[in-house]
Amino acid sequence: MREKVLYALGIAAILLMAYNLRAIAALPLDPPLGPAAIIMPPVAKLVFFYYAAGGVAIAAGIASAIAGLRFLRTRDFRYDALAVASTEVGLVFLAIHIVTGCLGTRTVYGPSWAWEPRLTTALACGLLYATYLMLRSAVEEPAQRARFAAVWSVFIFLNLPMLAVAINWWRANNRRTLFWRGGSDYIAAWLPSILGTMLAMILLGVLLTAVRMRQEETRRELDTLRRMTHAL
Amino acid sequence: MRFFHQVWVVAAKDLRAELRTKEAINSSLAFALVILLMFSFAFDPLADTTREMSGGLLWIVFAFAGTLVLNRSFARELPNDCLDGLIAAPISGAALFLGKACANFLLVLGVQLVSLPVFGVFYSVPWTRQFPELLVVLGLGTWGMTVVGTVSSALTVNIRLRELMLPMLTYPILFPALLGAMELTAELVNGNPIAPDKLGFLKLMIGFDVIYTAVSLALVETILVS
Amino acid sequence: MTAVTYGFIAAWAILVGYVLTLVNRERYLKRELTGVKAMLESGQASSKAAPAPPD
Repeated sequence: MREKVLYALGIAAILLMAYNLRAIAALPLDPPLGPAAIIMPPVAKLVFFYYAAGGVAIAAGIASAIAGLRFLRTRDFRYDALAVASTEVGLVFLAIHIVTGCLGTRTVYGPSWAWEPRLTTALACGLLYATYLMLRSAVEEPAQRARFAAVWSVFIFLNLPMLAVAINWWRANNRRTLFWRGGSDYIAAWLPSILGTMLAMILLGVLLTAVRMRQEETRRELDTLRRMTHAL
Repeated sequence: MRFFHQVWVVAAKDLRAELRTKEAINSSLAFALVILLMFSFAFDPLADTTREMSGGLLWIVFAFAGTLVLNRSFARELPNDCLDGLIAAPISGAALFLGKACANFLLVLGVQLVSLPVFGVFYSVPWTRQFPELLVVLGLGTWGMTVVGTVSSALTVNIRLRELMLPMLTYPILFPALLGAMELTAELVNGNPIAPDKLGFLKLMIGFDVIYTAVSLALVETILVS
Repeated sequence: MTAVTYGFIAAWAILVGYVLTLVNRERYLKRELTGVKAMLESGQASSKAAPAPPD
């Protein structure tokens, strides 16, 4: 039953992604991109992956924090599996976010890493979640590992808003944001494609998280069997 | 009041144990001076540009030296099963944590206050001009570092790569507080009062301290009790 | 056009890389699982043959 849901999810994600890619490729670039856009087409089309991946990474971070809190409340190991799965998937999409951002920065500003606030915040968040994964791999006993990871995910989640604020106030960062000046002055015609790509990526993320969660269950089953073997 | 009495007892015990041997503070102080010297090799200490950013360098020195003290915090309790004894004692985990945090805070602050004049001499900055404000920023930043470091020390006490994991866990969480502290100290150490547009960093540091102290007090029981 | 192509290729490469690590881990876990299950069977068989040790 579960397999069928996963397959259906995968197919839905692929179809949605193909539809969106066609729509993105067909978007006309000739009309001016509006007063807020500071980029030159055609690198503009990269923005879909940039924003979508960023959105999925944020969703994964929230899922990880909520899963950690639920684990502390209920001690149910499925929440622990959800926490680690969503953190890993979030890191993958954060990597996509940073890489596309670097390519955008290189085209717009020149250097690959222009200390743009959003990219710098993304990098710092990535390092934070990497420490989470390192902590998990350093603790051997499963119950202790789950407890420590849950506590640490709360610490990390509380840090994120402070990190965003601090980096935005930092004097050395390049105040110009990538792809659009200031806030979100999106072009109305592009909004459906942005949301569509984000939806496709979220489906993909959910699929990867589910697969990873199943692997975590397999690993726990393995640990239990191993313990039984050693007891004999 | 019982809670604060317990905190006081734990803090006094830690301070007494540390001051008897002074091993952590001595190595921390030596490390701080060594890094200060190395930074003088890396950046020309008498140039004006270096003087402007020396506040940032100072906090890197403090962060690295502080880790040595924080590492010893829970690791000191490992021989003779002292840690199990402390956890089994009728004090709450929060009191144990706060007592250790206070002791660590005083130790790290002591190391900082001794290395501050050395820093002033090396980089010839007028650090005494805004000393009360500088002390406030030092206190706020050090408290944030101590709280996060003591929690990390409790997390990593039984992990095999403890010496490596503690800095890796502590520093990324400290990014906002360190950023604020570096910006403010860079101004203050050169004798300039804090500019109004940098006051936000002060609020950020206070918020960081309050939030992380509250969260640590709430969650440290989960970490210590197995 | 090249920056966009590089971006797409990079994004998909990262995703594919992660899927590959998942697949590898799945294969490793399955192998371990069958090995431990076999050890369990043989262990149970041998302990049934030998007399139960005193507690």
